[in-house]
Amino acid sequence: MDESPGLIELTGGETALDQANLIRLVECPEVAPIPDPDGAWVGVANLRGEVIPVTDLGILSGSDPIERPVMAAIRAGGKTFGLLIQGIERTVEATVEGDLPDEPEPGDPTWLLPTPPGRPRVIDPELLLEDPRLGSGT
Amino acid sequence: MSRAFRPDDELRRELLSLFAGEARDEIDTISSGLVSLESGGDDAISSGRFDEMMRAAHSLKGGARAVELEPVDRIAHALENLIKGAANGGGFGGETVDLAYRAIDAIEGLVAAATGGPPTEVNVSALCDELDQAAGGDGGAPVTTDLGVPAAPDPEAEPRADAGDQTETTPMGAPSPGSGVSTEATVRVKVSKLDRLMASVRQLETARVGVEYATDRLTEQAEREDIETREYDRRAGVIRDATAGPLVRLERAAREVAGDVAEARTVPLSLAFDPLSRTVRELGRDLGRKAKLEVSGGEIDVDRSVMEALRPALVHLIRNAIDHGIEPPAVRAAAGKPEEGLIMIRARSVAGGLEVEVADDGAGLDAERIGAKAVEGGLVSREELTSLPYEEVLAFVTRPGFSTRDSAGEISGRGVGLDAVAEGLSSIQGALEISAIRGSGSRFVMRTPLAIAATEVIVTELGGQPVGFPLVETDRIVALDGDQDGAIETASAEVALSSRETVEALAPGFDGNPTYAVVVVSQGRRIAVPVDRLVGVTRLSMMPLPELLPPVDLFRSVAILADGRVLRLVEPRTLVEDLPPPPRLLVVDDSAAWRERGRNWFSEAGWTVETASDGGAAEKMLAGGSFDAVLTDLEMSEMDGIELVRAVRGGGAGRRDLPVVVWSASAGDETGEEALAAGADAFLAKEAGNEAAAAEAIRAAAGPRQDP
Repeated sequence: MDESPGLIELTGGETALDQANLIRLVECPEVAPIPDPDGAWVGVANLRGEVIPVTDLGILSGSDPIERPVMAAIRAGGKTFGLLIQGIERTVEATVEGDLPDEPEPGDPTWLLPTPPGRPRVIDPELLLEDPRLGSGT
Repeated sequence: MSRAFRPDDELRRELLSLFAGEARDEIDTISSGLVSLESGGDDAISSGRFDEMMRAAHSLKGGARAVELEPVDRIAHALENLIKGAANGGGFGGETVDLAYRAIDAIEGLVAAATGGPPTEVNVSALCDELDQAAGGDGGAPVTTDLGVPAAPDPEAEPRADAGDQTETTPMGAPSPGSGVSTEATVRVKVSKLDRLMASVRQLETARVGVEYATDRLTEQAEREDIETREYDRRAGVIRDATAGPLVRLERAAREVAGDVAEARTVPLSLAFDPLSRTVRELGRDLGRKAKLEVSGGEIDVDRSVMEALRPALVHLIRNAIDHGIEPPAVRAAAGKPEEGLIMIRARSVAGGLEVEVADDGAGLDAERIGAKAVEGGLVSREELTSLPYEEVLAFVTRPGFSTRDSAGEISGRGVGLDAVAEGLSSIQGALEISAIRGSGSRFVMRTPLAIAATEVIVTELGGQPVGFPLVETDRIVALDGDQDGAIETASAEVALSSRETVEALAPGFDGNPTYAVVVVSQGRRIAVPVDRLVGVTRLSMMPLPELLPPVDLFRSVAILADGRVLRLVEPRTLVEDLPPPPRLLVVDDSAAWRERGRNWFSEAGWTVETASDGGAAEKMLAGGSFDAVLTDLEMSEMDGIELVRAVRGGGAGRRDLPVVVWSASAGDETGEEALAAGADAFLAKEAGNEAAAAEAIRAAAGPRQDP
């Protein structure tokens, strides 16, 4: 499938981000909380003069909110948002292979692209924004 | 030498786009002129309206030639002749005005079609023949250019500026060709470019306050250090001294640029108001209604984005007023109203914003029917509906898709598309408020900022996060002593504190030990919000919340502070929803001025106020709705105040124990005794400034339950 210029493997080794979508990594971001009934948008942050919405990979993955996170500022589909992650491990050369399953496994996020066995699954930011928990504002 | 355009000619596309912007301005000028001529008579002629209109038609013609829009060229030419004929003594009758409007409609349609809009069908020859006939000439006669109208643009000339989908004229002064007044050059600038320029100015301002903040911190840190850091202190002083001058200049420059850009984006409200006379006239004619439109406040300048939201909202409200509000003449006559209905648009600047009121004296909104439809549509249960305040019942009409119509052809009820009006206003941080009485008219109040750019904000900290309150919607700030129990005492009244749940939604880190409370006011209701710390009052460039977020009712907008943190500006309208519904007062008076005065005063004091023009109307309203008190005039035509009191006490108008205060401009001992004997709780002199006494009398009669 797509030949990627490079992936950033996130802490834990299970997921990765495509460098092409990444604008900036912000250590200890100051997130101003915003109430969201679905709880997936956790607030807003200042990204070089632009106020962007921020979500949390921990919450989106069905776990607890990430403590002392790093914010990955991501641009996708013409929109910028912040994704709170635990941190990054390393940059890896990788490819995204295979097709998305028509019916994802129950509980399996629909925004993780398939990769070869043993490799981290790649977060597709555009699909991520279609997650119902984030979708009401789009 | 002229140049023939090929259909795919890029230059033509650019010129068409440019012409579309020009044409809109010229059409606005002609429309405004027609409105003025319809109402202004000889004064309008002497004021040069004809000259302006002729110049506009001539410019349209010239522009159309430049882009080879022959049909527009022909219609504009014939229109110019028509106006000239009228100026030379032919005058403008009703039919001629209609014809002129049809001509500009045709031009609008043709220009839109040529620039990618929907196709339009215009019988150009027939229209031009009509125009020529009305002008009393042969139509082929050239229009002299003794007005100093500039010649048609040279098609080969370079476009004057960048052309885009949306362009606007940026007047630098008041260009008026041929008027003898000196003119300044104008350029057309894409609105999006102005937006980007404004965003850059905002970033400049953010950077400036950031540098200032960093310098201050450096200095503060140096001052806190001991002897060993004298060198640090000295260096900080050097940095501070070196940056002070440039920072001041940067601030001045940023402010000037921001002001210029903001000014370039402003347009007078009359641009939206003027065409509405035509809407009233034509729709009234089509639907068999008689109505006149009274407008005030057209001279107020507003930001273009505010105008873009207001224009369709006004058109919608006016169309609704004619379609569903103003009754047919016979119905009005039978109800004792003048056959001709009145629609009023009043705009006024309020602190930091704009208030545009659209009111009519028509049939009003039917709250019962709206409530029934809301229940039917599953928006509220029947039980919940009975406890809802009147305004909240009316507010259902702003829900998407809500309508009280039972069938497409029925002319009754209201609500179609009001959701779009509310949504449009919300997009510019505005709001729509509705009040209406069945049979007595409707009143829609649109509140918007004049410009979205800058707002005076009280900056506080709550739960370790900056939270802002709009200064114009802040009543006062009160120091807390830790002894408050759900409410705080102010000099004039007790004010409820926001619920813990709301405060935690504002700031999840709130620890429950606030030091101050900020009292905000919205819709005449006050609520206090506890805060941990006051930071100060500042003017901030506010931004809307990011699009990706779902609707956030608690916050209106955001801004970036000097230290880089994001401030969230609270929405007072949402905060007061924590409060129980305010008591409802019915003000009964046959004087519209006193009714309005009562509405304003008591609304400000926290009541929900409805009005009736006589005792008979009041009796019906009392029977149909739950009111908490009545303030009535004494002498009225249909049923006077004493009869109304008797009706209430006799059980003919809802609660027998309803507090009723009577006041009269002709107060005498005898009338007062008669009112009290009839069952009034108090009798007062009706005079300006006596509202507080009336409120006190109502409170005394009703007990503490009626404190708003």
